[in-house]
Amino acid sequence: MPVVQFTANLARQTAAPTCEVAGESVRECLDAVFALHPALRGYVLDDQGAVRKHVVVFVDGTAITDRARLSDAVRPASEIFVMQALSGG
Amino acid sequence: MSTKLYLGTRKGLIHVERGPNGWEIKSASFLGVPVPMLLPDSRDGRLIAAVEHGHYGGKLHASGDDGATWSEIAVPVYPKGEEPVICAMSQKPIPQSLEKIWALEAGGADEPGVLWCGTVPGALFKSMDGGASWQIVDGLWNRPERKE
Repeated sequence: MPVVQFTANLARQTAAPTCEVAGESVRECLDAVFALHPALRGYVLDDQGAVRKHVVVFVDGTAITDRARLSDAVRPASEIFVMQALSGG
Repeated sequence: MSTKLYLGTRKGLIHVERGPNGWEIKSASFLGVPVPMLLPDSRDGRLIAAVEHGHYGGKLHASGDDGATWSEIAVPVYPKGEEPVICAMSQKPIPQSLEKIWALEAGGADEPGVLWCGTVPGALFKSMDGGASWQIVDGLWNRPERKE
């Protein structure tokens, strides 16, 4: 099953453990994680369910392209990594 | 005269009290994170702090022990699926997602659990359960001039 990981930076704010979940898209996998850890949703997604402006999601080392619907495909052996984006000055 | 001061700063919440030796810092919370608004609720002594994470958005935390410990409560959520308003200045759509909590007010003494929250993008939310959930105030949200 795909593995979803978060940074230590995010884990300092709310519970964000590594999770092994079922899913064929980023949306399905993240929804499965949020079902286990509901408070995490608002840290990763905005009010409309899109990836937050200053958060990035990688699947097997490549940033996802559909940040609004999170439809990017995920394989059973995929690794999804959620981290804060570098921004500001 | 009050002897207690809470300072919401871009680097956290500082609690200062005046004692026999002058003003002293009693505690600091949310170090390194902006705290744009704090509500000391005189009805029950609870503190409610708006915390603004640069990457993770605005959050609300409540404390029942004068800031010694905090627990996260719900934040207002904007309605889904509506056409975003176009900003008159930039001509770009304004995302309907919580950007900032800039106002917090308690309901009346005869309204236990009622809280009011003003946000950016401009909206007013009301909680009937002490911040466990929030409802947008439709009477303001649906006014046509909001989109002008």
